[in-house]
Amino acid sequence: MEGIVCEDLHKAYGKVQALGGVSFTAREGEVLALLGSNGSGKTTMVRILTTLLNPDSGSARVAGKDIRRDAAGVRAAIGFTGQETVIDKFLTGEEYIGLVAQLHHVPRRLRAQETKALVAEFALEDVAQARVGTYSGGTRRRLDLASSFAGAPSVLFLDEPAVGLDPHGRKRLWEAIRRRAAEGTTVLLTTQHMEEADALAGSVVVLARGQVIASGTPSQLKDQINRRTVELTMADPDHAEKAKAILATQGVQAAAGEAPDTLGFILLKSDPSLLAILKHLDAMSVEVSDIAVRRPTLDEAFLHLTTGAVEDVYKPEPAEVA
Amino acid sequence: MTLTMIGWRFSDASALARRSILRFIRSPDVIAFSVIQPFMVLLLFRYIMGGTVPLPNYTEYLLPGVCAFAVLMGSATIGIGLAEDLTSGVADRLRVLPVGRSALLVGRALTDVEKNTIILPLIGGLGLIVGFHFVGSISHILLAGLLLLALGSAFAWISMTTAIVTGSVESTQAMMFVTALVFSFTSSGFVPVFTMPPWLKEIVEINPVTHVDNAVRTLTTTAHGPVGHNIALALIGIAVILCVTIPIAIRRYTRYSQ
Repeated sequence: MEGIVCEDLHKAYGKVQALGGVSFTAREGEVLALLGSNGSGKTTMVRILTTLLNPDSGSARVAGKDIRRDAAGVRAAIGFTGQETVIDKFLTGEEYIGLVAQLHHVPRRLRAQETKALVAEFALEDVAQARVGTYSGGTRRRLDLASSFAGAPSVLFLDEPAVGLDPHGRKRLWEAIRRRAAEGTTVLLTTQHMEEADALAGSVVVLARGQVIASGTPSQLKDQINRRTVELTMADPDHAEKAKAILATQGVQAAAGEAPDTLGFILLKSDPSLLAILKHLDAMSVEVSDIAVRRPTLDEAFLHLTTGAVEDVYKPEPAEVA
Repeated sequence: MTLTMIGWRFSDASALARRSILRFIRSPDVIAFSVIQPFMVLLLFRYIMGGTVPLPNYTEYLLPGVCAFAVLMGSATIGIGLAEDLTSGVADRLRVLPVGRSALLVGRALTDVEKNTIILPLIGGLGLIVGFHFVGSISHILLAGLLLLALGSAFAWISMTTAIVTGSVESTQAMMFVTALVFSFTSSGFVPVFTMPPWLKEIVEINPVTHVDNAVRTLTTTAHGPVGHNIALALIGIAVILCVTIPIAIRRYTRYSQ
């Protein structure tokens, strides 16, 4: 069964077109990352799918329920965390999760059990009895996320879920998302952090100006940039300049790496193959002791897709500070 | 609607009412001001302005009016709380849950009843300190309390409708403050109607607060009057307010973010 199916969704705010015919599908148990720059239509999309907003045209089904004809059915099947953390400050963490579970109609006998499990999953044990008003921003965020998992929703909408979380909190969130997905929960995630999408998402949809400009697996999106970053380590550091000149004859512009014995370059699809370059260097008596090849990151793929920008000049990776 | 769904609707409203009442109970400053404000009015009218009122026992006359004033002012906070929920995103958070569209509003209205159940006895107690004497039977006092709670509920719905229509905490606060003052002072709550100019008497006579004041006064003091008549008129006025505001509030709330 499909977790989310959107077909040709349109939404305008006055003269501003927020969505101009968005279609995509997320399978049951799949994590789908909805990416896009600010104002690309991600939040409008989430608000429509969570029944907070009606589309002007088009249709969508969430957990098999039509968002217009069976909005109540959709609400019974979903969990939601918005971009901003919104929690009643005067309730305790435990009371808040319990309230959301009750409003999800979790039977009383199971409510305490589920609350306890979510408190543990998001490491809220120490603060569960304290009022939310005393929480730090990150702790509130964890509570907000924990509450969206209450009632075991079959589709989860997480709008920028990692905002305000420290690395431990983010790790816990990622584990929770992976666990739910493995159990069959469909997760729609919007994020500005590409490494988050790369780590979690089975598929990615990129929005720009309210339209889908790319979709696929993270790997497929990265492959849309036909380039590799290559760094060669010379067996003899004195050969670096010679190698640079040889590469230039092949039409490849190389630059010195961080270390004096390294040389880096961007290899485009139109360039000679890496194997051919290595053979040529070998034929010219330049011995290469090590090769590092890096595929484009999702960050680079996203920039390329949304702005068309591609960095064609090799820049060494910044050295790690001890 | 199945029985299970009806059960869920009650459960939703009571869960949200519990949320609001916890907020009230855990905000001692709000409780204090909910009592201090009408008490200050009681003291002001009893000791400073009461000397000009041509009545032998003004405290007996005054306290029912102050109780009505307290529930009216208290109802303003229901709308303010709802406006906060609407503007802060809490309402959106609740709207993606499988709760009835009216649950948040019904929950808030129930909170008003619970809140007034706490505040009215406190004001009654303060009334005793300044010389008020309950004369009616327990059942009469309870009936008077119920009338005041019903009046509070009606104004809670006016307050919530205002919040949804304006969508602003500040506007709700300002409008409900004026509404509570106008309804309180164009009633028989503070001065007898016979002292008012004829044109104002006509307004006072159609104000449901007047009939609640009169009924509560007759039920709890030595005052004589047509209690059944006043109760009936008070209930009609309250019913009219509820019949107008509840559909508007629920419809506007359902469409709020569309």
